[in-house]
Amino acid sequence: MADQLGALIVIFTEIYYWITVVLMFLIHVGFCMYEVGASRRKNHLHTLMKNTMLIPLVTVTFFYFGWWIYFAFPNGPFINGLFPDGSGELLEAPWATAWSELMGAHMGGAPLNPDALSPDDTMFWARINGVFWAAFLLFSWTAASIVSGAVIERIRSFAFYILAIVIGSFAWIIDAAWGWSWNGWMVVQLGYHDAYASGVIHAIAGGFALGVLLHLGPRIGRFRPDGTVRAIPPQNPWLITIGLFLIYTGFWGFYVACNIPILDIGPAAGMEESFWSTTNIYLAPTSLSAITFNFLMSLSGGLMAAYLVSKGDAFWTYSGGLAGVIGASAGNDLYHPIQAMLIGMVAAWVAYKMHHWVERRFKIDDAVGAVAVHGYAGFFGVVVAGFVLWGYPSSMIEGYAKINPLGQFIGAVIMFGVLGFLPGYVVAGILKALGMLRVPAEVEIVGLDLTADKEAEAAAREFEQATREAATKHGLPYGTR
Amino acid sequence: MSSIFAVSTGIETWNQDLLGIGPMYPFPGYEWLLVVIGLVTWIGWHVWQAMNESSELKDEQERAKRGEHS
Repeated sequence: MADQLGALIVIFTEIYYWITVVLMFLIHVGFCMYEVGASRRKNHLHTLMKNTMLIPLVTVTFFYFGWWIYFAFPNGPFINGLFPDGSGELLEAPWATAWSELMGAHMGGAPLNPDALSPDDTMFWARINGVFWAAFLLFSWTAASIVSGAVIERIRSFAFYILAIVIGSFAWIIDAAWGWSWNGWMVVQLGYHDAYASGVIHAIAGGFALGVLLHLGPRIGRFRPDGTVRAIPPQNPWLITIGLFLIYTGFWGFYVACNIPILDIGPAAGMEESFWSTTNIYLAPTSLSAITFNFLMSLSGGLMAAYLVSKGDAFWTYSGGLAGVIGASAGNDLYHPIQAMLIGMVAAWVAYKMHHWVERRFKIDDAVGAVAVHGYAGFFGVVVAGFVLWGYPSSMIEGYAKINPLGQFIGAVIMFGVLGFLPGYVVAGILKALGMLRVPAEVEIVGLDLTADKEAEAAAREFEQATREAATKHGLPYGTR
Repeated sequence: MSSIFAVSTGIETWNQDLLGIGPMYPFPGYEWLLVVIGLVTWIGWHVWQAMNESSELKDEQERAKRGEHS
């Protein structure tokens, strides 16, 4: 790095994304607590390990192909070709292939392979690739974790691991290439705007979970013979709510990671002088101050509305806070804070009402309300942004479609339905046909931790016996603590 | 689709002198209306909560008197 200012900007950007990764780890601590708390005691180890193992599997597959998809797929292969001036081709992304020299420690010097990479490529990506990849990776884990909660207590671990890879390293990153990048075809052609991923992470993951749930079926005993719902009380409501609170905390990292910390957008705006600003992923201006206002106000709107509609139920109040943030996320780079609060309130109400209606009407057992909090609230969030931000530019680049209700609605359908529900339904259907989707009924009834619990009990008894013998040997009355 | 962009709820283009941009949010100039709506929502929430809590406490008091707590 030749000059001081350039070096400061690069290293600041590097540290910025690194910090977001650390904060986003808390989302996954929260998800583990939340899912274990929601499950019955006999299933909590299986639940924990299922959610834990998505981490290495999505990480490895995101390294192998997920990161490359983000840069290669913005034209929506064959889709952008349908529109005037759209090429529809895959884009070159030599910094993101698994075998690229830039997918490892690199000082930014001349490339080993000048046919694949230019000196500008190596200089730009050397210090940014790892932290940028990691920020996106944490979004990938989040997409898979959202699905994880809905399917607890009866899905086979193998099935979930395959589904986690599909949503985490394939489906969501395609939607990001299409609608969450400066050059994605959905931004160009539809004016799609989704700054903090209402659709890009939340609606798609909720839709995916719904597709899986249709094949997976409800937990044994969840519905009475007359079709009414039996409540399955969580083993630990405290763990659930503190877990959700940790998810809120990690969500701050998510929001901040969705921005570019500092960029000179003066030239892109046609200005002669520089204009340094934080930008959203579409490289249009926003500020950390703006999103801080809006995150807090949409969270508050969600909490207030959910408390009201659930009559103070702890689980649904905390979930509603999350739904509030998710519902306002599409436009939280631009909304007024009171607009964000009101949108958050409606999103939480929609999530609560839709969850219970779908459960009663279609007998869908979504153990933690993930389809509602993420899927329906996310869909709503994308759609409402089309009205509230109607006519705003979707990009610094002239010629892109403006933000509009129709483009946002089509975008929401693509996120929830085409890239979310459809792959979830198809892959779960294949796994079901292979007999590998759900645990046997007998195992579900006695509990997925049966073997682990029995082994732990046997080990505890043996140790107790050894302690008793040691006490006798040392002349201690047994019972000494 | 171009005709429905004759107006914008806020910013119309980013291709302008960015130093001249003030509020970024939709419907600038109507902050007073948002404040009023927000105030009504907030106060209304307290009214609902107080009424609901009174009703719940009354039910729970009746249940306690009937010995349903033990």
